[in-house]
Amino acid sequence: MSYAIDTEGAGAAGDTLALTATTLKDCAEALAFAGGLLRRGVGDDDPFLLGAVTEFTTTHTVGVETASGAFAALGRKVAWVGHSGRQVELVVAQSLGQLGRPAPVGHDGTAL
Amino acid sequence: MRVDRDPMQGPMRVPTGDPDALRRAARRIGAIASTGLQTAGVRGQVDGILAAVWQGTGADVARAEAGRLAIRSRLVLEQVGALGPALLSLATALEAAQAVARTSLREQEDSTAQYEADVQASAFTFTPEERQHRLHVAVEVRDRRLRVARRRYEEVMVPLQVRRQALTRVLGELGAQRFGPGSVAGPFVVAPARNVQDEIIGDLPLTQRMLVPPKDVLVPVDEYDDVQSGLPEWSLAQGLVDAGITSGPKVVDQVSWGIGASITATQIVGNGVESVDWYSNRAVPGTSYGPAMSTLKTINKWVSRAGTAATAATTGVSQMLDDNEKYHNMSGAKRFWRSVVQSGVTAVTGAAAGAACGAGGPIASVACGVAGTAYGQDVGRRINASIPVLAPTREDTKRTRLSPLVAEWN
Repeated sequence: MSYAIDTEGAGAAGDTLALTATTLKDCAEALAFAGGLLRRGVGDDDPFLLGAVTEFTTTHTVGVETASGAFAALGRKVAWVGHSGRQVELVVAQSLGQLGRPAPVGHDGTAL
Repeated sequence: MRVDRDPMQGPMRVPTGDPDALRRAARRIGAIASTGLQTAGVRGQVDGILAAVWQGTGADVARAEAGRLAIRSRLVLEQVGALGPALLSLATALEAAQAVARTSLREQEDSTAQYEADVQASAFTFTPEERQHRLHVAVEVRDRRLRVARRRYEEVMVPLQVRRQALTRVLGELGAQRFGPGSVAGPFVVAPARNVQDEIIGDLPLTQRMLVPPKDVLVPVDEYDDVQSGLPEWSLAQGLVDAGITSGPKVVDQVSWGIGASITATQIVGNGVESVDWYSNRAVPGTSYGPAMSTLKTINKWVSRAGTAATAATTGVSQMLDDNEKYHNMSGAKRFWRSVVQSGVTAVTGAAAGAACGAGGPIASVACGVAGTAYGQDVGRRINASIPVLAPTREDTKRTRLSPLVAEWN
């Protein structure tokens, strides 16, 4: 079994996941505020309705917040994978130099 | 909190609640749902992105978790968005009920005041019969006005009750749906308290590892998986496995033990022969590899010409290093021969090189070629902890575990 990783692409995928996480974090905050509005809006005449509204908004606020954290975690992981792959490339390049073998064009410093 | 739920009984009063707040909440949750559902992660587009840039078993795990997370996030956001119509209907009914209730209450006050005025005016009549008649009329007028006000009040309270019950029903139905199976769903739990976090990430160990302390993550861990150290063992070690470097548990052991960038690089160099064919023949439709990918592919091709010697040397060195740690009480000769036996016939040459590197440490590492260099650094780090390496060392990671800047490593 082999693996292939585009280190820069993995970093971009991590950024995409992180962006989703940021958006969902904002959504969670907005939902918490909307939950307060809802409680104010329905009043307290119907205790069953008020309880259901409270439970729903709390549950879903936690849900959105958890999803945000999870996307952020996945994003960090994917970014780390790309980063570690990049480290591998660097050490391989170092090893090529140690062997005295030429590195691929554009990756041996001649183009700098 | 008032608990008199039946507005048909008891005195009239204005129902509590704020229609404007309901409408604002409906608008906001609509915006929340649409915004969240438009993100790439929730739409599941990350799967395609990941598929284009990363293939292997590690990638499969990440893609599977991202996919499940997207489905659950969609469910959460769609349920939030589904509330909108019921909220707007309730706002309309509540607004009408409050308006009519206020009107009816004013009518009640006015009719009562009018009745009292009529009673006072009746005192100025000339005959008792006429006064009795005026009092009778005053009562009739008052009662008629009160009945009309009460009927209007009750008529408008009915749809309000219907809307409230409908919203309660919608909330109950939506709340009955779980976002995910969770990790602790069992048949013996009678009325489990809902654990939303567990529903969403309970069966996503990769995500969990990044969110909760390792000791709280219930994932199968083999003896070589050093979760407690907080090392990024998943990416590098999984990368090794993905790369086809499965020459025994010692490889995973070393990566779990320490870092591994040097070890990883050496092993990949050593296994370039296996890797290059795959990279060359692999065709991923619609994929545009970046320069980094090209670099890795090319390097693997070039290094593959280094041939079997590097692989053999690598095997021998790694075995020797393992034995140095595991069997430090064993005599040097015994360890050497053990490494030879463990590594097999093809590693005899490498074992000799490994003996040189292992014995000489960083000083002799230059003479050991590719494997010797990488392992020389590793030996130096382990013994002297003074030679810098590219990746975070185990000691560095442990020392900085509490620092938020490197929290992602954990």
